[in-house]
Amino acid sequence: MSNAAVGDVYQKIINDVLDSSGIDFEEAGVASVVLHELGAQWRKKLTDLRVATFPWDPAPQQPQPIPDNKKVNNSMQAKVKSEIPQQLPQQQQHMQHHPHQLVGGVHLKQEPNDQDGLGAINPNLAAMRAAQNIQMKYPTQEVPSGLQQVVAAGARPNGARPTGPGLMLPGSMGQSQIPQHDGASDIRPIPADEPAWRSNSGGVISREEADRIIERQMAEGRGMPQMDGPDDDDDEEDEDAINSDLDDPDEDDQGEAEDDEIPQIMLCTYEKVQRTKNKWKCVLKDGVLTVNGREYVFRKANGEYEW
Amino acid sequence: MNSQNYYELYRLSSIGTALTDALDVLIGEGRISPQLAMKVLNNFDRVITETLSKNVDANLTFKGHLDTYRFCDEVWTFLLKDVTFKLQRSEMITADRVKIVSCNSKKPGEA
Repeated sequence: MSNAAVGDVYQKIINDVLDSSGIDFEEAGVASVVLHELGAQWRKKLTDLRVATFPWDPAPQQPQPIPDNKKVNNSMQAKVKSEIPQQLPQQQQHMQHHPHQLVGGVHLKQEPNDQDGLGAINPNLAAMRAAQNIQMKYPTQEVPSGLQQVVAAGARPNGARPTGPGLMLPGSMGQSQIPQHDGASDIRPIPADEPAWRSNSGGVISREEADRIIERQMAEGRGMPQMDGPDDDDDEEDEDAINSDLDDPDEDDQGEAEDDEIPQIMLCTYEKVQRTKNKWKCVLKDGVLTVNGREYVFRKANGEYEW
Repeated sequence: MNSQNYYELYRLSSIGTALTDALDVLIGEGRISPQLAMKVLNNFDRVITETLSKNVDANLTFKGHLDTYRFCDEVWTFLLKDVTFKLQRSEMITADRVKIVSCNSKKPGEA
C-alpha cells in the first residue's frame, strides 16, 4: 500500500458514484450539468485537502503537494543547520558591535530605546516617578504619610479625609444588632407545636429547658436539622459520586483535538479483535487511513498494541 | 435505492467529506434537493465499500500503545498513541495519535 494508489482508487470511486447517481439525477429532474459540476466540486475539494496526488490534478507544480509537518520541520531544521556554520563568523563580529542581536540565524531589530530602558515597562520606575512628582509638589521635606497612602491607592487625589465617625468595631455599636453573615443562626427556633414551648410563659425558655427539648427531639428520632452547610463527610463522596472518568469532557476530545486540521483517523471494518490481558491483536479490512495529512487505503491491516 | 445497506462510516474520510461539502454547496444554491444528495451519499457508501474490497490490494501492519478502547453497537473505537505503520515496500509511518473507527465486517447488511 502506498499513498500513490489512493489517487487511482479515489478516481474510480468518484467516477462510479457519478455514474450510478446519473439515474437518480434524471429521476429527480436535475440536469446532468449539475452532476458534472458536483464531480468537479468533489475533485476540487479533495485536491484542496491535499491528502494525496490525484490523476485529475494539474501537472504537479510541487512534486510533494503537502508535506506533512514532520517533513517541513525536518527540512527546516536541516536548512537552519546548514546555514548556521556559515553565519557564525559573521555573527560573532556582529555580536561585538551589537550585543542585542541574537545567535541562531535570527536577527532582531534593535529598539532604539532599549539602551536606556525607556522602552521597557518598569513598574518600579513608575513608582519612583510618582514619588518624585510628589516631592516636587510638596517640597516641605516630609510628605504627609496619609497622603502617600492615598496616592498609592490611587483614590481621593485631593487628599480629603473621609468624613464621619471613621472605622467602627462591631462591639462599639453597643447593641447586638449586627446582621449575621456567617451562616444560619445556631439558635434553632422552637416549633410552635412543642408542648414545652406552649407551657412556658413569656416566650423565654431557660437553657435547661432548651436542652430537654432537644433531648426529647433526639429521642424521638427527629434529629437536629443541619444549618451549617452540607455534611462534611459528604465532601469526599462528591468528587466521584456518580461521575466517572468517562464523563470527563476532554477525555473524548483527544481523538479530534485538532479540529481544524485533518484528523488522524483510520476508518475500516474489523474481522477479528482479540485481547489477552493487556495485549490486543486485531485484523482490520477495507480501510482508509489518514495520517500526518496523507491518505492511505488498505485491504487488510494487522494491528498489535498493548493497553 | 439499494436493497442492501452499507456502512456510512466512510463518509468521515477525506473523500467522503469532500463529497458532502460539494453536495452541501449545491443544496445551498437550491440546485439539488437534500433527498437527491442522500441518494448520492448512499451510492458513495456502496461504491467505496466495494472498491476498497475489490480494487485495493495493499496490506499493512501497525503497532502502538492503546490509550482508549470502546466497543459499542458493534463498532470498535481505538485511540492509539505512538503508532508505527509498516507499509509494503518497508515504508514506515509514525504518528503520535491515531483514532480507529471500525465496523463489523461480517454483517455489512446491518449498518
